[in-house]
Amino acid sequence: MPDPLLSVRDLRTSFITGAGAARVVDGVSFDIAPGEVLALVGESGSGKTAAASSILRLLPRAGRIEGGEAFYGGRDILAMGPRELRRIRGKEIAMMLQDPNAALDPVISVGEQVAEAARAHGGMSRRRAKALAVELLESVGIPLPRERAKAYPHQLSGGMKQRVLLAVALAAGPRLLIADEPTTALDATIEAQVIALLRSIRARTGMAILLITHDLGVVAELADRVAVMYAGRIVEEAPVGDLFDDPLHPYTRALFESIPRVHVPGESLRAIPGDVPDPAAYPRGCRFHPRCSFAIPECQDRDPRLVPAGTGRGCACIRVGEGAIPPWRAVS
Amino acid sequence: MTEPPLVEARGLVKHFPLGRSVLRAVDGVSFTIARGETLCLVGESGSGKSTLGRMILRLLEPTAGDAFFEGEPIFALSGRRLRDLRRHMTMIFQDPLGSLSPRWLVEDIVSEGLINFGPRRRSARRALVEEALERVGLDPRLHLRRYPNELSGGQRQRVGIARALVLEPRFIVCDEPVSSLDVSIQAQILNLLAKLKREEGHSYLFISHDLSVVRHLGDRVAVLYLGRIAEIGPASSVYASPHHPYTKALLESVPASHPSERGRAPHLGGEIPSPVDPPSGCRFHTRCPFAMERCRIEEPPPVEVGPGHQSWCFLPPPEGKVTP
Repeated sequence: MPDPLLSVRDLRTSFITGAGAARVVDGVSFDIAPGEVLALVGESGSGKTAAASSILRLLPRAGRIEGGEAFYGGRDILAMGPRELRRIRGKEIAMMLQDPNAALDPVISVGEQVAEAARAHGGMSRRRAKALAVELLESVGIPLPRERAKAYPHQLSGGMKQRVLLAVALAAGPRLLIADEPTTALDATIEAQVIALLRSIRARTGMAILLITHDLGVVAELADRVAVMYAGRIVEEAPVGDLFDDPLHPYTRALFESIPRVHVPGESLRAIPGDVPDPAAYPRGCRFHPRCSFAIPECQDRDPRLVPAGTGRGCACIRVGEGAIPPWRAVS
Repeated sequence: MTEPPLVEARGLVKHFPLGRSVLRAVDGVSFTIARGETLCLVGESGSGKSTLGRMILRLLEPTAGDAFFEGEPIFALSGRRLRDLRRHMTMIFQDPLGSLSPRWLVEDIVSEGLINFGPRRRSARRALVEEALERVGLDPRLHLRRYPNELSGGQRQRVGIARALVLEPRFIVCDEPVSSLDVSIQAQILNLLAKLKREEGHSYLFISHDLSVVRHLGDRVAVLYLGRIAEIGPASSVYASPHHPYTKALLESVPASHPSERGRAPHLGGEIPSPVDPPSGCRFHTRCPFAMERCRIEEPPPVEVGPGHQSWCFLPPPEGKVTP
C-alpha cells in the first residue's frame, strides 16, 4: 500500500452539553491513500460527521478535540498553528457540507463564490478567477455555466446547489475531498446524477474522497474501502467488495438486513431492536451489546478493540474473534 | 368489482396561485383504494404527492375534481357528516411531534382526537390511549407521562402512529413516515406498519419518495410526475415490468445493492421542471430518452399494459402482456 495521504490516529472529540461532555468520537483511526474513496458509514449519533469535521478543525462551538493526530504530508493538522492550517484547508483538503443552503452565501452570485474560493488559494487575478469559475461550473455539469454563474443560490434547484458546492470545493484543486452526505437531500434521479459526477471527477483528477454517509447504496456506488462507525468507534473496516460479500460485525450485518430492497418485496425486515445509544451514556463493554443478537455476558465487560480479521480487514467483536458468528448468507 | 372502493379520487386538481402565475401541484389525478388495500404514491419533489394526500383528507380544498369515501362525496360534506368522516380518516406525518407543543405529554398527544370523538370519561379515554400505545409496541407505564423530547425518533413515530390508531380509523394517509429515521429504526416502523396492516385491515395511502420502502408495503403503486400519474398498477407488476420511461428511470436510479453493480444503470439527465411551468404534452418529454414529436404536443392517454396496470405513454405496450 502506498503511503497514506491522510492518517488519523486515536481521534477523540467531545461535545459539551448541558449534561456534561459527550465523547462523540472515541478513539478513531483510519488511513486514506491518494486517490482512494473511503466511506465512513453510520447512523445518526455514530460520530461520523464529528470525526470528519475534526480533521479540518471545523467543529461547531460545543465541540472539542480531546486528543489524537491527523497526519497530512507528515504534519499533524490537529497541532498546526492557524496560518499553516489555512494553507491546508480548501487547498489540500476541501469539505463539501451537507446543507447547501447553509454553506452558500445567499447574497453573492454562485460564480463569484466559486471564483472567491479559487482566488483565496491560487493568488490569481479576478478575471482569471472568473473564467476558472465558469470552467468549474461546467465541469460539475451545470448547463449554460456562463449564465448560471450570475445566478444566486435561491434561483437554483437542490441538485444544482449541490453541484455549485462541489465546484467551490474543487476550486483550489484539493487532493482530498471530505463529502458529508453529498446526496442525502436530493431526489432519486438527481442523486444518481451527482453520484455519477463524483465518480467521474475522482477518475479525472485522482482526488481522494472521505465519504460520510448513512446510505449503504451510496457506499456500493462510490467507495473503495469502508469503515463502519457505531457509538463513536469504528467497529468494522474492509474493502467495499469484502464488506458487501461477507460483513463480519453483528452491527454491520444487522444494518444490511434492515434495509428494504427494491427487488425483494414484502419479507419482514430484521429490524435492530432498541435505539442508537446516547453519546452521553454509552453502554458498558461493547457498545452494541444491548442490541446484538450474538451477545454473551462477557460482552458487557470486555470492550472490544478493532483487530485484524483477514486481508485488509478489521473487526471489533469478541464473538467474531471466537468464530461464534455463523457464515454470512447474502439475503438476495 | 361489486363493492364500491373505500376511497376514490376522480380528476383531482389543485392549483396554488403564485402572484401572476399558478403552481400546478396536482393536475388531474384519479385512483381508487379498496378496503384493506395500500396504495403507494411515489414521486420526486414537485410531483404533488403530499398535496394529493392532504386533499383526500380534506385538509385542502381541490381546485377541481371530486373524491369519495365509501361513496360519500368528501368535499360536499359539512357539519356532523364531515365530523364523522374525520373520525374515519387520519394521517401519520414524517415528524409527527415536530408540530406539537413540546409541553404536551404523550398521553395528551395520543388522546387529543378522543376529546372530540371518544368517550366522555377520562378513565375510559386513558384506557384507549394505553391500548393504542401497546399496539405500537410502547409500554404505557413507561411512556404515558413522557414529553416528546424524552423520546427517541423511533419512539416518537410510534406515538404518532398510536395517535392515528386511537380513533380506530378505516383509512390512514402516511406521508413519508420513515424518511427521517435511521435505517435500523426505519425497519422497526416498517415492520410495525406491515403488521398493523395485516392484523387490523386498515386501508392506507402511503406517500414516499423511496421506491424500496414502497416495494415493502404497497399492494398497488402510483408513480407521479409533475402533478400527474405516469403509471399505476399492482406493485409486483410495476416493479417487474415497468412500462413508463419515468418509472424505469426511477427504478434504475436506486443505488446499487452491491459494488459489483455500480454505475451500471444509465442515469436520467436534466432537472425536474418547475410545476409552475410544466412542459406541454407528456410532462416527462423534456427528460425522456424515447421522446417523439407527438410527445411534445399531445397528452398521452392511459394504456393498459398489464392486468390493472396502466401507463400514460405513447410507447407500445409489451406484446403478449395484455390480458384479453
